[in-house]
Amino acid sequence: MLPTGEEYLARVGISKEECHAIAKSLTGSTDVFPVRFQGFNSYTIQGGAVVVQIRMEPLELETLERAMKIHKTYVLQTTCKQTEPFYVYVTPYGGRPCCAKEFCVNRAAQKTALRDLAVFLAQSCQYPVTEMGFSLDTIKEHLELCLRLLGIQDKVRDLFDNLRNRFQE
Amino acid sequence: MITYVIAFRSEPNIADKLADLPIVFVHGDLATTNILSDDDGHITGIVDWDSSDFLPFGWNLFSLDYFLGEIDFDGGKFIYTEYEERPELEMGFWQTFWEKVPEDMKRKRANLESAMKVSRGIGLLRRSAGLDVLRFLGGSLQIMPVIKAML
Repeated sequence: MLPTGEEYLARVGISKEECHAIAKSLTGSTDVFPVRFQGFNSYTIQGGAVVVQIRMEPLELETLERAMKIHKTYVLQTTCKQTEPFYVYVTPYGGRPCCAKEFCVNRAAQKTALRDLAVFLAQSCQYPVTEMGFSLDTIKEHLELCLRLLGIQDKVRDLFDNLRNRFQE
Repeated sequence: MITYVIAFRSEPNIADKLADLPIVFVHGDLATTNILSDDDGHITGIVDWDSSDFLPFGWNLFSLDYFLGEIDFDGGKFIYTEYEERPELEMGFWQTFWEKVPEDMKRKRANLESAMKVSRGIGLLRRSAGLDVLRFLGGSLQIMPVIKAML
């Protein structure tokens, strides 16, 4: 179900060995390994306290900079190390994902994480803007597709109209 | 989990309420796989910002549910089980959230709480029924009846 990263490498024609060699060189560690949770469009490896991500498409560094301005310490510093024939980025190791089983059984840790999540979400409210990043048509198209799949489009058609009125004024 | 989605059909002034929501920078995939923490639970980093954008606040509030229950994939179906401690965990979250938001949001809290339910519902729909997620689920539509029932 979850991507392992290897299907991505096969799709884009990069060898695992090459990725690990790059990771060893960038992290200075001889013990490098794929992280447990991989994305659909990248292959990520950890070595020591450094994480290396390999991908064909560049990361949107502008988006990361924007996120850093708003969320500061919650965004890991990302550096581009290579652009050809594929992109290589490094970030410091940030911790383990909150979906890990050992995390899910620790209620005290969950409580702390939830408080931090609240702080994170509240931070975004400190920097409101006046225009949405998506066009209304994109949102509408996407939601209509969702609703068509659900067979409930009539029930929320008014919501679309209301959204149009609200965001196109 | 269902109460915020019910707002779709029970809220007569959705447009007015949504208009109160600030448009903010929203992390587009705030799943627990993208939230990193130390052993004590302090969030140390949030990754995968690719699908982030400026949207009405609350579209990624679905993330809260990942912390308040557990999702298992069993026999071709997704089963969500709420933790017994959910009320206490959720209360802690909202208490901190409302302490940290700007004063103008605090003043409009009652209106915003209704609007957030709608926004959270839209975000859930977008995530649960979106094409990317369908691909992720291997084409499984098992989650659809659950959402449909909620609406």
